[in-house]
Amino acid sequence: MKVQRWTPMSKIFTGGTVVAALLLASVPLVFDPDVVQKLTTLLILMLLAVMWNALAGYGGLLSVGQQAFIGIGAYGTVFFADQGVSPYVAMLLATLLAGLISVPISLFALRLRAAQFAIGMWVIAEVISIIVRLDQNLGAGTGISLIQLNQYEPNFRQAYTFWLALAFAVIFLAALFFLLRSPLGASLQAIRDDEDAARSLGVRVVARKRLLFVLAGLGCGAAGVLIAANTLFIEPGSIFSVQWSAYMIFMVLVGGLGTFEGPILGAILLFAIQTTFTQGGPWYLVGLGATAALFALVLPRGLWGTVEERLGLRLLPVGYRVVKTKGEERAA
Amino acid sequence: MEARTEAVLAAVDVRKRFGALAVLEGVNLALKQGEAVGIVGPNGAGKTTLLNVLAGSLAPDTGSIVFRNRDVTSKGAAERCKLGIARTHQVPRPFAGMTVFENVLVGATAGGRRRGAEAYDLCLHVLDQTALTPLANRRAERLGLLQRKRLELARALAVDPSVLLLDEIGGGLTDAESAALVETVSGLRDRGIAVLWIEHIVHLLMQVVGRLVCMDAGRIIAEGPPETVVSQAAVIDAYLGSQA
Repeated sequence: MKVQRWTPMSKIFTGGTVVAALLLASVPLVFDPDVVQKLTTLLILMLLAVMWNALAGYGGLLSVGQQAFIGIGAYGTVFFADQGVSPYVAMLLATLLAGLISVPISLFALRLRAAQFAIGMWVIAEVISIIVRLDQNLGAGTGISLIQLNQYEPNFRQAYTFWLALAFAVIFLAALFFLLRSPLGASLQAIRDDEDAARSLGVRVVARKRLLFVLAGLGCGAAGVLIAANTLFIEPGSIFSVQWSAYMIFMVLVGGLGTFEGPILGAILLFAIQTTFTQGGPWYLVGLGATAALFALVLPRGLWGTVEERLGLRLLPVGYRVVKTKGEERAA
Repeated sequence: MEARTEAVLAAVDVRKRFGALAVLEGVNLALKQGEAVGIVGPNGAGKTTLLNVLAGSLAPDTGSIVFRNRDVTSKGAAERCKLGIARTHQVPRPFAGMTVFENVLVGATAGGRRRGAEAYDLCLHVLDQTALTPLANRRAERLGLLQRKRLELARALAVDPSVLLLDEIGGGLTDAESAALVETVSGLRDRGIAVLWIEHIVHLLMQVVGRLVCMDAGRIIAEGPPETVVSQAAVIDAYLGSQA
């Protein structure tokens, strides 16, 4: 017997993912800025879904306050750009700032359990929102523009933002992929399935959760940076809105909690719904809520979780398979 | 020879209450290296609570847990596992979304601190030992109860422990399976692993343990060679009630 990690199917799919990312990189050269902006939104949704899944799907941390980091990323970008650094450097600094701030927040938040943690994170997001509202230099409650990006010609600017979004999406997806493939990956999935049993097998649960929390802080910060760059104007009411968490929950639950591929699928679905039904007003939100409720009742594993269960399909090789060695096959 | 007679894991005057209910009332128990000890007693005697306290899943109210002359009372379950104390759960707690092999791998990498090929080899060996190899790629949620119990044992063995705490892994087995289990646990004991085994199937214990402990209402009421303990009046009373 031996242990196999890559299957022919997963090789094809992983290769396909790399090719798709390379093809996506050429999007700004081919399509209108309008399309490029829409696809940037899709990449942002994907990044958010993957990060929320890292938290909830693997760490069991159901946060409704990730907008805290989205806001820190967005406002951090404006803040650093105001200090005179190049806007793109400001974006990197703001992403790191979100990751940095997630460390002290984790010291407090990870002491909370389940629903306490969920609501605690929401409170943290509101507190950060209030701090921003009190700062006149950040536009207080009325919002602020990322004027430093106006120095770039709009088509180029949109292309740069898209490439940055693609780079962030690839980096964070790859980070989670390699984390789950690493020896820590099995521990993270064990925490997802049964925290106490994981502990009794030697898994340092709090340390692993902190790792995921900081990763999600960085990732949601990056998403906030991209939102600021994509829309050029931010205001606390929308960037710190709990609606971001609602979107993340929707994408992950519909796509498949605790699966690697599911949230990507969920993001594409939400994006399709958003671009099709935005004219529907309140009915669009009712539809989203009804869809989420329907999935919770009928397909609790989400789209990808159901596919994986029924077909035993794993496209990205984060798992392990025990197979016969060539010698054993011959003997049989 | 001195080290072999020394206690590897010991509970010293351990007390634990759940609200008004006293579950452990001053339990003293020491396990030596290479020794297998059985625990019997009626439901609610405090057996599993004692195991939880030894494994670090529960903190005792008073008293201490000593591992190789070191007080580990304040250490959590994960730290104790890394020290070499592994346990199974009475009600199996598999990682439902992971395969059998991946379940076992958690024990080998997190608790046993092995990496790569070394971890894989240990896991494959443990799967073979527990007859789980044919199920290696099955998701744990699709296992039956007996298979889940075997998985509990396999995960604990993958830690490569020096102390093994077993909680009712012998129920519902066929004669052949029972014999295999007895052989596995005896083999572990002979390799120098200290085994503490809670079991209702007393005849299984009798084949493996050198010492039997009987608990009732949070206390140890009898302790000694298995044959002596099972014939004691207090043990018979605890199980069957006083024949007044």
